[in-house]
Amino acid sequence: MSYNMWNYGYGNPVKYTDPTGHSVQDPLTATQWSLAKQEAIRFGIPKELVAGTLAAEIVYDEDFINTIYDVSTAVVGGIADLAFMFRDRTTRNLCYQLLEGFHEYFGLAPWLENKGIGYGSAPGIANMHAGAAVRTEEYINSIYPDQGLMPDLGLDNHPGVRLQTLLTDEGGIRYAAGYLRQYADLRKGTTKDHTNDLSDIDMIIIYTVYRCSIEGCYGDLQGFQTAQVPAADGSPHDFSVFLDLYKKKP
Amino acid sequence: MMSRFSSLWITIVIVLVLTSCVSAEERLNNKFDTLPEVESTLIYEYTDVFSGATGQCHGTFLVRWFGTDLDAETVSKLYSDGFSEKGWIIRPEEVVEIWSIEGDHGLYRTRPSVFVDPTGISQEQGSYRLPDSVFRELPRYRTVYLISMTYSSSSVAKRCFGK
Repeated sequence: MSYNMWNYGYGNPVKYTDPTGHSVQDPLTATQWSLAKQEAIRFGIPKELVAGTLAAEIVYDEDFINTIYDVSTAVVGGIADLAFMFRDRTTRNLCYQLLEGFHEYFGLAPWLENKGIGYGSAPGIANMHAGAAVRTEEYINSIYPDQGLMPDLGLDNHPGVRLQTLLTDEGGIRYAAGYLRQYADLRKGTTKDHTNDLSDIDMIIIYTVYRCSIEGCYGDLQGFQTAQVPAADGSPHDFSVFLDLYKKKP
Repeated sequence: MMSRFSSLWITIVIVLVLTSCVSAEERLNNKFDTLPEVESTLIYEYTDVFSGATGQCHGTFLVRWFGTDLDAETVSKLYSDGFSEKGWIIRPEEVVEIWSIEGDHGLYRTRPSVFVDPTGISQEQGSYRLPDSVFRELPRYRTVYLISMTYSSSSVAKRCFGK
């Protein structure tokens, strides 16, 4: 991993001043903290899991550049349209790889989701991935159909509708909490409330999945479920500093 | 004149790029062909893109489920020995046993999961679900195992996995 969570001001001294080099300031605003707490209660998971994940996301993920939103969507959309003039799957995948470069640079490619590939991220506070958001909706709505947990967007809506929701603090944090609940269920093998049965290690493993998915980090579900000990080398797997911060909050 | 000339070059470059690349799925299929050979039956195959919620670590994965009359220990050893012989490594920072190898354009990571008791396998597999017909077939085999392999481009791998 190329990150070092102990960097001065978390590597961003402009956003997060750290005069002594040892203290941690809360990256969340009061509103964001309140929403994180509210959604944690709604989804039955610990508040420090939601708040800590969002905080880590704000501190570490600096790749999205909001001011070029319009430019990036135009470029990516144009390439996607060009790509899908070719109908065979190989060429489509090739175009998908080309778009990876744009995704890397701009951090936004919602059109690919529209084309059925399920790819593209959105820049909410949680930087919730659009494809992951769809899967979260599907999961929560099928497992908890009568609880009204997810925004009533409907899976047939244009990705732009979902994107607009993800762009808001309220929508982005709710989707993030839903995503974390999904993996808490998988982690514990049960669909009951997890507010009191997740340990710090459980939360760190779930947080890791939030960042890079089951397949990316653990290879498969079995790998995820057997991973009892997170990385101990100071990599982003360990967000204990955030857990400590939000455990102290009321 | 200049504008027409530029357009021609842009078109040529686009066509060349589009016709010269290999898809991630094709790369995974090719890489699967180089894995150790174990006498078994392919039961199910699933491929999709993967990505965490942040979108930072993403790529394509291919999962193949197999059934065999061999015992679990033999299957595990065949793969472990085979991966080592073919240059795959387990990097020390891995949270679980994942074998990696770098290719010309990206990073491949794979992990065999071997089930001693096929009746204990979950139908829900995280980002996908085993079809009913496949799920019913699993207990027929002495040992069931799956090989999952991911492919991420070099730039993503460097950012996500540090190499």
